[in-house]
Amino acid sequence: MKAYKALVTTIFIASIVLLSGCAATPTDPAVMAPVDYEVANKHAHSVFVATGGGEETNAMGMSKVSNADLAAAIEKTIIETRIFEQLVTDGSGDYKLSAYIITLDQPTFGMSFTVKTSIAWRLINTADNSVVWEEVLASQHTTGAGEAFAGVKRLRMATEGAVKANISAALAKLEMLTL
Amino acid sequence: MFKKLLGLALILSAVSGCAVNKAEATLYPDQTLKGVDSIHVVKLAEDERGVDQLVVNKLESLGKTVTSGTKEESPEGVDAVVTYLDKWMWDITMYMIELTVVFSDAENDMPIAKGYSMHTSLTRLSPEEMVDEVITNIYNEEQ
Repeated sequence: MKAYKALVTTIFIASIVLLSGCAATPTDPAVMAPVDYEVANKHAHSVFVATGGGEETNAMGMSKVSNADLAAAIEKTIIETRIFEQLVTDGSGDYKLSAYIITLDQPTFGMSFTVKTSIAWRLINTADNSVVWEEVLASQHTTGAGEAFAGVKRLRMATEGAVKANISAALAKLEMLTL
Repeated sequence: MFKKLLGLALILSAVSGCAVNKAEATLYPDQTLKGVDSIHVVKLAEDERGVDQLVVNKLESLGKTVTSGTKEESPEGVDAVVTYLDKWMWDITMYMIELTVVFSDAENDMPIAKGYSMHTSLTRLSPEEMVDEVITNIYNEEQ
C-alpha cells in the first residue's frame, strides 16, 4: 500500500514537472528584432507595417510567431536601425511594408533544433500602390543542445533566431533600394 | 476517493494532448485562385511517400492541368506553383500529422494561398484525406 502510494505520488509529481516544463511560450519580439544591424542606406520616408500568416502559441504545443509579435519585431527593428525615418501605426505612411509568414518548419523533437521559415515581403508606395520590392526570403537558425536545458526553450530560441535572420535579410534588401 | 481522482487526473493529463485537430486556410491579400488553371507541384526531394502525387491527383480532380517535378522543371507559362510540407509521426504506425500546402505565383514566388491541417494520433487521417482537406479548405477561401 505504501509502495503504491509512493509510486502514484511520484508519477503525479513527475507529470506536473514534465507538463510544466513542456509549456510553450510565445516568441519574444525583442529577441527577433535585429537591432544591431547597421544600415548603410536609410530612407527619408515614413512606413507602416502589416503582417500575416502568423499563429498564436498554444501552451501545450510549440512556440509560434503571432502576427502581432512579428509586427512588433519589425517595428522595433525599423525604430532602432532607423532604416526608415518614421514609423507610423495608423496606416498613413509613405510606404507599406508587409511581411507574411508562408512556412514555419519546426522539428518535433531532437537535441539541437533547426527551424526554417519563409516570409513573403512586399514594399508598396502608398501614393500609387505600386510595388517597389517584393520577395520571398528563406532563413533558418539552429539552437544547439547545450544552449538550453528544456527542449521547448531550444525550439523557441531557434524559432526566434530564424525570424531574426529573415528580418535581417529583409533589411539587406531594403537598404539597397532607391526610394 | 482521492486515489480515484488522482488516477483520473493522470489519465486526463496523458490523453488531453493526444487529440489535436487544426485546419486553416488563408487567401493572401489581393490574391485569387480564379484563373489559376495550370499548376506545377514541386516535389520535395525528401518525399519518399508520394505525397506530391496525392496533391496532383486532388488538383486534377478539381479540373486543373497539373505537372509535378522539381521547381526547375516547371513548365513555362504555368499559372501557379504548389509546394507542400508534410510531417510524419510514429504511433504504432507512421502517420501524417501535419500538412502545409502553399500556392505561389509562378513568376515572382509570392504566395497566393496557403492551407494547413494537423491531426494527432487519435484523430489521424490518411494522407489522401489530409491532402483533400487542405486543398478543399484553400479553395473554399476563394468562395
